[in-house]
Amino acid sequence: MVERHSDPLPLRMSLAILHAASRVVPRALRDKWMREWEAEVRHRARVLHRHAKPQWQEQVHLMKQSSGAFADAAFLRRQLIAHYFTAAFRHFRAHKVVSGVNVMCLAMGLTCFIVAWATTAYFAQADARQANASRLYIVIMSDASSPNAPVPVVSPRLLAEHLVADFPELDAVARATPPTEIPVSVDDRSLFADAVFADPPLLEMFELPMLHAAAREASTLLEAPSSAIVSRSFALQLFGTDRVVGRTVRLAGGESVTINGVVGAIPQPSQLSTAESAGALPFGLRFDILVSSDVEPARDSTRRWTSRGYYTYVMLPSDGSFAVDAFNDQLDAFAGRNVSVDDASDLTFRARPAAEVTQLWLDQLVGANATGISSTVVLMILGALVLLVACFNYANLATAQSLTHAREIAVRRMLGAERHQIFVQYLVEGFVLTLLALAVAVACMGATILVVRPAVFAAIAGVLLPMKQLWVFLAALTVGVTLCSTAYPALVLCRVPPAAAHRARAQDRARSFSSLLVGLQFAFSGFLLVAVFVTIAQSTALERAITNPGGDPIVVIVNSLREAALDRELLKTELAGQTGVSGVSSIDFIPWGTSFRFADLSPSEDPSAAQVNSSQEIVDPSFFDTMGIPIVAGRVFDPARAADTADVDAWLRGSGAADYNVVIDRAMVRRMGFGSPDNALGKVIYRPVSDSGSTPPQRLRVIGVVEDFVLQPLNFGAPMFYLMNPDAAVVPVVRIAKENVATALARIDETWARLAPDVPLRRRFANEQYEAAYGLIGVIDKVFATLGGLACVIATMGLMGISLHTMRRRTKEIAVRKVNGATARQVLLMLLADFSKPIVVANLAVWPIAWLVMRGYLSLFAVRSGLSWMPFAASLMIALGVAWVAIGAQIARAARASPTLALRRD
Amino acid sequence: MKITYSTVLVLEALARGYRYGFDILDATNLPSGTVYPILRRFEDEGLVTSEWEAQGIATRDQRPPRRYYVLTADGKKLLAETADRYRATHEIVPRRSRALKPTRG
Repeated sequence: MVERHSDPLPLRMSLAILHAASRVVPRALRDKWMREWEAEVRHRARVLHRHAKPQWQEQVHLMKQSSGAFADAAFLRRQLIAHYFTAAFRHFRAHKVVSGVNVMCLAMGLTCFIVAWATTAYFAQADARQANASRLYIVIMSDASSPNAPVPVVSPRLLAEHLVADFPELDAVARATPPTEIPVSVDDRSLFADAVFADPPLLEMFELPMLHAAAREASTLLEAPSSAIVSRSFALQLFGTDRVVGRTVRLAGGESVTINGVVGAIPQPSQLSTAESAGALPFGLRFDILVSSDVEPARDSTRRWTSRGYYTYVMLPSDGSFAVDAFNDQLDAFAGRNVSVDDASDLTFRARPAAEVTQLWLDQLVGANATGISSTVVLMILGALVLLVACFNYANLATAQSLTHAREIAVRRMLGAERHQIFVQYLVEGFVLTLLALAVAVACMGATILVVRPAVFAAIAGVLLPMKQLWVFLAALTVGVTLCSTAYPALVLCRVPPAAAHRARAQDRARSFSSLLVGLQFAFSGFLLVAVFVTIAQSTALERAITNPGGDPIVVIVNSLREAALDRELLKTELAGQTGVSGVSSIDFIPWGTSFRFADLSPSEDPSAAQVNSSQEIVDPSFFDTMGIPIVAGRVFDPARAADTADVDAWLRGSGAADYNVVIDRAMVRRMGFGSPDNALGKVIYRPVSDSGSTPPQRLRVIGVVEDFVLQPLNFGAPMFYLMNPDAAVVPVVRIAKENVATALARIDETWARLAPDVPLRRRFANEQYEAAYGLIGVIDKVFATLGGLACVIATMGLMGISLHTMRRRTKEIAVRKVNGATARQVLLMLLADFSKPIVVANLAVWPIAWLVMRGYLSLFAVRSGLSWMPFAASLMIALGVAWVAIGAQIARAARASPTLALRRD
Repeated sequence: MKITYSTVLVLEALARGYRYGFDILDATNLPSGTVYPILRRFEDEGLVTSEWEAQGIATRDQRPPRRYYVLTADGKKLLAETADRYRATHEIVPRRSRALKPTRG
C-alpha cells in the first residue's frame, strides 16, 4: 500500500483501516487482498471527490465501506484455519494406526494429569459451599523440638480452651475428635458407630442438612448436655426409622445421650460426612453419631500441650474486623503466654483454611516437612511424568513420520507453501489430536466413575464442572500439550528446504533427537517402575512384619476394656483357657492404628542435648510373649517386681522421681549410641520436661532389649520403648493357634458375649487392622503401579512406532551389510543393540534420582524393605524385555529380508 | 453452499452487471463485511471468476487495478434455481443503465 501525503484525509483514514485489517489476512493472500481493497477505496474516494461531496460525508462513507475489511480479513483467516483442520483430519484418516496410537497414548497421559489436578482441586473445594467457608480455619500445631512428630492437624485439648479465653474477637472456637469406633446401644440392640465428639459451636461453623431436629436452629443442637446428632442411615440401622429425635442411646462408657437431630446426606467435599456421603474426603470427620463433647471419654486427662487428639476449628468474625493474618501474628505471643515452660518447649501455632485439612494430612504422609514438597506437587509431578512420556511419544512418532514424508513437504515448499504455513498446519494437527485425546480421556474417566460409583461421579461433577479454573486448566493443558508434543516435529518439517529434503544432515539431527526422546520416555517410565517395585516391596515387608506369616495370627479386640466395663484379668483368664488361644495380652492403644504416641528421649541429662523422637507403648507383662517379640538382652517386665509397673499418670504429667523400668528395641540401642544390646542394660535414658532444666528430667532405666517390632506402621523412623502398666493397657490382643483359627475365633466370640453381653465384639486380624488404618498406603502402591504401567506401555508403543519407521529407513543399509557378508543374526543383534542403547542409558541416568526419592519414601516407615539393587535391575529388565518383545518381530523381519529385493526396490 | 437472502442478492447484482465489490455494495445495500466473504465463497465454489482490470486504467486513475467478478454458468444456474424462493430480489437490486464491461488486463 502506498499512502501519499497528497491523499485527502478521509482516504488516508480508510487506508489506515485497511492496513490494520490486513494483519489478520493470511500472509500468502495479503498483498493481493490489499491491492483489491485499496483499488476500491481509492476509486470510491475519487468518485466522491468528483461529486464534490462535503468532506465529512466522504469520510463517513469511506470509513463505513472500509470497516468491512475486518470481516473480510477474518473470513479469510477462518478459511485458512478451517483448511488446516480439514488437512489435519485428512492426515488422520490417511494414517489411522499411528494417529490412533498417538491419541490413545496422549489420552493415557492426560488422564493421569487430569486425575492429579482434579483430586487436588476437589480437596481444595472442601466446604466451599458453606456460608462461612471463607472464615473457617483450623489451628495447627508444630513442635520445633520434634520436627518429626506427626500430624500437626491434630492439636491438644488445651488449645481450644485458651483460644476462647485469649481471642474474644473470634466468632467461634470448636474442637472435634477424629472419628472413633464405639458401641452405641438402645434397649437390647447395639451397634458399632463412628463417633465424633465435638464442641457445640461446630454446628455454627458447619451447616448440616437436618432431616429432623429438636430445634429450628440447627446450630444449637449440641448445646444441651449429653446431646447427639445421628446420620439417617445409622438411625435406620439402630431404630428401623429416622424419626428418632428425643430418643436416648447409650454409649460405650455407659453415658446416655439424647438424639436432637437426624442429618441427611452432607454435600461433599466437606470436613463432615456420613455413610451416605459420596465423595467424602479422607481424614475428615466421618460420623454415624456426632456427640456433644461433655460426654467424651477423657482421652486426655493429662492436659499437656503435647498430647494431641483434637481438630481445633475457629471462625473469624464476618465483618472482617479480625483477619487471619492478624490472628496468626498474635498466635506467636499466644504460645509464649500459655504453653508452660515445664510442658513442651517449642510449640508454634498457625491458622490454616479448614479446607486444607486433607492436604495437611497428605503432606504428612509424603513427608512434606522433610522435603518441602507438598502432596499436591508430588501428585502433579507423578501425573506430569506420564503426560510427558506421552508428549515425547507423540513428538517422536511425528518426527519420524515427517522424515519419511520429507519429499512431500519439499514438493509443497516448491509449490509455494511457506515455512510458517507448514509449521502452523502441523501445530493444528497436534492441537486436533490433543483435543481428541482430551475428549477420549475425559469420556473414559467420566464413564468409569459413572459406572463404578455413580454417586461419586455426581459429587465430583457437581463440584468441578462449575469451576472456572477447570476450563482454564483444560484449555491451558490442551495448548501446553500441543506445544510440547508438536513444536519440535513442526519445526523440523518447516525447516526442510524445498530442494534438500533428502539431505542426510537434517535426518541425522532428527534421529539424535528421536533417541533423546526415547531415552527420556524410558527414563520417566524407569523411574516409575523403580517406584512400583520399591512400594510393592515395602508393602510386602510391612505386611510380613505385621501379620507374621507362617506364625500364629494375632487378633486385636478393638473394643476398649474400659469402655466395655470389663475386668481385664477376668477376660484374660477366660480367653486363655479357650481352645486355640495361645496367648492374651493388652496394650494402651489399638496397635497398627492411626493413634500416635511419642516422647522425646535423650541419652544425656542435659536438656539441650539432641533428643530422639521415640514411639511409646504401654503394655501388660505378657505382651512380648503373646506377640512373639524375641528378647535380645536382659529381661522383659515381671509383674512380681513392683518397680516394673510404671506410674502412667506421673509419666504423662512429666513427673516421677523414681526411675521407670523400660524395655527398648534394637533401634533405640542404635539411636542412643549404646553400642550393643547388652551394653544398653542398666543405662538411663532421659526425657527432658523443661528447656531450662528447672525440673529434673524423667529417667528411664533399661531392663531389657527386644527385637524391632512394628506397632505403628508410620512411626517416621522413631525407635520404640515399652512401659508396663496393666491398668493402662486396655486394648486386648489375642494370639491364636494357626491350626485352630476358626475354633479359636468362635471361642473368643462366645467368651465376649458371655462377659459383655451389651457390647458387641469388634475384632480384627492384624493385617485387617493395618489395612483399615492405612488403606492409603495401598492406594499409593496402586497409583505407582498404574502410573508406571501406563508410562511403560506408552513408551513401548512409541518405540514400536519408531522401530517401524527406522526399519523402513534402514532397509537399504541392512541390505548392503548383508551383501557384504553380515549374517541375519549379526544384523539382528546390531539392531537390538541400537534400540536398547537409549533405554539402558536412560535407566542408568535416572537411577540416582530414583534412589534418592525412594529412600525418602521408605524413611516414612518403621519397618523398611531396604533399598537393594533389585528394583533397579528389574525395572531395566522389564523395560528392555517389553521393548524387545515389541520390536523383535519387526527387527527379525528386517534382518531376514532378502538384500537383493531390498536393493532392487530402492 | 448455504443459500441465504444475502447470497441471492449478490448473485442478482452480479447477474445485472455489477461486477466490482463496492458497486455490488451499492446495488445490494449490503455492508462490505458481508459482500466480500460471499464473493470469496462464490469463487471457491466456482460460481464466479475474478479478473483484474487493465493496468492502463489503473495507472490513469493513480490507483492499483480493480478486481471484478463475473458469474459463471454454474452461478447463473444457481440464480435461476433460487429465483422462485427469493422473488423480491428482482425488485431490490436496481437494473444498471448500461452494463459496463471491464477491460481485461
